[in-house]
Amino acid sequence: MNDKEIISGIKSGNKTLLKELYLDNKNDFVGFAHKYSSDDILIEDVFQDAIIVLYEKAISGKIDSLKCSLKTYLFSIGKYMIFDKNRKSVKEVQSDDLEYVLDNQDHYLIDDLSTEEELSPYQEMLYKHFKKLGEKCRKVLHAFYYKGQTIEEIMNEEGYENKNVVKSQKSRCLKTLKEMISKSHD
Amino acid sequence: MIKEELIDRYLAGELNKEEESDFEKMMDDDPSIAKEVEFRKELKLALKKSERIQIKEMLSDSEKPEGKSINVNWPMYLAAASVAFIFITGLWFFVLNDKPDPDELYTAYYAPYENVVQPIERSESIKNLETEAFLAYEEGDYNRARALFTTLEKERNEPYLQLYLGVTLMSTDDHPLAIDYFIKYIQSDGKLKDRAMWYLSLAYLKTGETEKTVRTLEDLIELDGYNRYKAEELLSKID
Repeated sequence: MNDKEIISGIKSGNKTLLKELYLDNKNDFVGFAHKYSSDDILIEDVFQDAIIVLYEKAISGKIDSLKCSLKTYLFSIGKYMIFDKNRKSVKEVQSDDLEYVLDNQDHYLIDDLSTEEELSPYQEMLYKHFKKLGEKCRKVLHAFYYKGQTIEEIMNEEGYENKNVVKSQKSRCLKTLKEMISKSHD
Repeated sequence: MIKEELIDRYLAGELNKEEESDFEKMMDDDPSIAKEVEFRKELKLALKKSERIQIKEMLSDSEKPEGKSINVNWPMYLAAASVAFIFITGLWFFVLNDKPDPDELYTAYYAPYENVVQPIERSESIKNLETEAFLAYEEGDYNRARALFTTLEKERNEPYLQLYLGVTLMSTDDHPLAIDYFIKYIQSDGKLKDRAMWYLSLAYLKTGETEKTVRTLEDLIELDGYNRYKAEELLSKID
């Protein structure tokens, strides 16, 4: 499988590919990252986060034009994250090769992942109810609010008749979710 | 509908400065809009965090040893084992010169089988029951290993667990039960059948079923695998 095939596979939601990508490159990454850190737990954590950045970028549909190989991309994200976590000057890193490889969205995702917290109790509760929604609702809300797809993209992917059908479906699903929550609090 | 879209665009950061301040004024005037914004924001976060946690779990899980593949280099292992064997038996011949009784033979020949199924890295935290069982086994804590393997064997229908449970039972002096598990394993035609036969013959030796010991050893010799020569030697001592 070449990089393009892997990316389009990930885009269509094949998570097994993430696992393969992770296992295939992990040892190399650990070797590479030892230049910057000796903390194996941190290195492993960072590489998992790099895979997540790749995944989120792929499903948002903005990865079609990678400037380098997938491996270089993952390693660049990882390297940046290690510098970031070691609180070294990020500017120093940016003047490096990284500026060329990573774009604004990458930086946004990296920052977002490094400030990640656990789910709050309210969010846990929301997710619990979300899982109980029908498949159509879960798909539409997941596509819109997690993947960041547009109404039009969802329409094409899920075979809706027109944009208005997607919009009203989405509103209905939000309403159902809110009703489920308020019922559970009665 | 316009309001609907404004909320989402606001959350996605798609509004320009002017639109954004207009929308914020709207939120101030109408608390229901602010409430809706908050709800969707939380939903987005819940989805994102859950998905990320799931991916991390999947990636961490993929590193757990599978436990099913046997990836020991057998020729190397056998070479090492036979060197150890020559040494032990040589010593034994030196110490005993008249006909030994079965118990002595058993003691001379019995050594718990190596864990070749699930290699354990000591640093790795105990991740599952199986690791725990093999850890107890390797550490020679056979009572604990026995309890864990018994549970595992019931839960899963994996033949190799029968082999290890059998050896564990021998180490806790429960030979009749061990015999049952070895027979079960041999009948399943497992990869390590010859090993199971070797231990079965020793278990028979211990329970005084000499005839069965002889028959099992003969079968093992015919298979021409693990401990074949050891089997011949043991056989010659029994007859």
